[in-house]
Amino acid sequence: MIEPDVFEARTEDYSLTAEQSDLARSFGQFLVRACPPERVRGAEATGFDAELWQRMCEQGAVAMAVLGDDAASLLDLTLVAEEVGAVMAPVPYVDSVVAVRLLGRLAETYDGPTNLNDLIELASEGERITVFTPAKAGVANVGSATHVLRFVNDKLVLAERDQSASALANVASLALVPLDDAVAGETLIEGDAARAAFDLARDEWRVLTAATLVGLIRTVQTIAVEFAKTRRTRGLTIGALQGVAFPLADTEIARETAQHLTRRAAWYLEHEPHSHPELPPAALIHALRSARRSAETGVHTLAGLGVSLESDMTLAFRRAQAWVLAGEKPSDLANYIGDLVARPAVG
Amino acid sequence: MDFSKHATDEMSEFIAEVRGVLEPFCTRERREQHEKTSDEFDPDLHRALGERGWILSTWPEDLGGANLDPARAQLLELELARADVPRINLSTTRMVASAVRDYAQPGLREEVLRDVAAGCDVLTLGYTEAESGSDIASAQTRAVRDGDEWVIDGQKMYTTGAHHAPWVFLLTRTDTQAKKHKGLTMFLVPLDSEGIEIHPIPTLGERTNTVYFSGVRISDRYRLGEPGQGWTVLLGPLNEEHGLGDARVLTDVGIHNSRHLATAFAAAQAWAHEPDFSGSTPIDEPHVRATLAATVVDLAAYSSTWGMTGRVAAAESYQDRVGDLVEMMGADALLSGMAGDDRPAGTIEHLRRGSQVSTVYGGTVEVFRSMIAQSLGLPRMSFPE
Repeated sequence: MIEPDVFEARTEDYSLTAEQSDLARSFGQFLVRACPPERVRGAEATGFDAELWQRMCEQGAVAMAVLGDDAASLLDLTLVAEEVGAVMAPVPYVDSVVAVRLLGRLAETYDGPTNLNDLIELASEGERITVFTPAKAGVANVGSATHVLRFVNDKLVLAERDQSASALANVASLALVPLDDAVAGETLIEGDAARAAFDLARDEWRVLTAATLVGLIRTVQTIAVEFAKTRRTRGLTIGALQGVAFPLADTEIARETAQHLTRRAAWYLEHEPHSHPELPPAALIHALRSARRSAETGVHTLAGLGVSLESDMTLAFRRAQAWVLAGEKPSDLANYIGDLVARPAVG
Repeated sequence: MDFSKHATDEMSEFIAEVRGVLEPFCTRERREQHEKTSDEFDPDLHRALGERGWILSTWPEDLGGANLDPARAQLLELELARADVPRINLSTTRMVASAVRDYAQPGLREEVLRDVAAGCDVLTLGYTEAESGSDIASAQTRAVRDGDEWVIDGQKMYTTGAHHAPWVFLLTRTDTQAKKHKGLTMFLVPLDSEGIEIHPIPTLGERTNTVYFSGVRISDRYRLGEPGQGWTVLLGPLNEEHGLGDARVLTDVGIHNSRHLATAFAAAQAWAHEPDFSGSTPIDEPHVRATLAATVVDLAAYSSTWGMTGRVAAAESYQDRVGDLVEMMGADALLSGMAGDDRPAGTIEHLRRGSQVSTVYGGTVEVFRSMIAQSLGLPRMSFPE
């Protein structure tokens, strides 16, 4: 059973601190300059921009996620993820930061062949790319990585892959490759402990991926609203027509609710991970439908330009479902929540 | 960013106190009576809350409030929602009380607020007319000055609570020459005045009323604010009703819809875990899990904002999800139910009917979408008027 937090007496404060706002702003400005749409297009063949990733690592994008006294909070990471999504940066940001956090939790007790702390350091510097994927089979967005953390047969495995293998052509221009090409390297942990470690990492992946989609909605909005304010028909700007304005109002509802829910889910995962396990999958389901509908509205609003590949709107549209599907199926997310509802009441 | 729980030992005492006060009002007999009258009002409950200053809960004690801190005020609201007791008149009373406090002439203010705070009186809204709903400011109900009195002629619709309330917060036109928003004046009109007729309007959900005013004479002491200042006086409660601003205000409407949906979810989840007559349990069915999971997602998403976006999102998701829950539960959810029903399907049936007004109550979703569109920088609509 689930007891939604709607009936709980809690503080309801979505405000950001000055530091958090500064973090979002500084990464946002950096990414807007470092990754204009032309750069996104430039990387579409491989789905990965190595130089951009290097620059992001120099900015501390991965290092800040490494566990320790100075570690960024999960909320901090959602703020950065939102900016990464807003520019559609062709880099494995979410998958990498989740990976270093997972490795950090395991490094304390793991004494196998690979030194996990070394791997964390190399990842922070951008020298090696280690990613986490929740995907169990099929293709996954791991084409830029040398190391893939995945959950196979009750084991959390550090698999290596051949980085030179090409990404499969796909509509979203992601680095999609067959997951089974990642050859099992080492089992880091197994059984219940592996399952718990995987579940936490997967929830972090869900929240951060949701955040990238919030960024995508912002970008869709910017393009669509600007168009609706300038395009004219019969003596009016088209944005004055309810048939155009109302779907754009809906993108704002989508953006605000997805942004708030994602941040709330990040807070709970950080502070009360067992209180509301439904929130990370709910955040991702909601972010997906919000991004998808907003992107459809965006394309539609721009009409002919909206379906033209030259338009930045199609860049966004092609990615709106992909960032989720590359790791999880929406039906699995829904089933996860369904299973929580099916649990018997406690006590 | 902070979502920590309020509950401390202190708070659990308060919660216990609130639950103790509410318990007698949750009996099956009372529930059945409420469903029969569809009043959404229990005068005994209202008085019990008023005795403790819980009507104007955050107001100072010398104005009849209980000076509750935000945490306790929120806890009180949650317990009212959890018990699903009739409470729609609490919202309207609170909204208007602020206007009375700020604009009523001294003698009237004390008289009204004392009784409101004590839970004896209820304040109802007289905004909507047959020809003006969303366009509130085009109200035509006239108030004409005659010495120390005003004479009121006109009609108000959907004046919920008018049949048992002593007062209506009435929007009138006092100057037909002035521009639309400038010729308005607000009054607090005693509903037992001669010339007032109240006719019931049964709805899918709560019963409401049409109120006819024929040559109703009232003293100038019932005027709130200056003649012509009516729009300003009305905007106070209206803004509270819209829930505009930075924080979720106590009268935020969106959260009420979220709480109704949460009530529906709780009932549906309980239903799903009970084996049916054939011995199988609905929660084992994939469709049931999927429907309940979808409700969880909507609840989480649409309880997360307030103001305009929250209003639209919570209202529409409430309607959609309860509609789905009805279908999930089948014919049982057609059988007449009530708030706090022993049968979960009865609770769902009651909420299904109640949910349909949520997209127009206190402002239509179209009005809010227009406001949201404007906030994005899209042009205001221009009207032929």
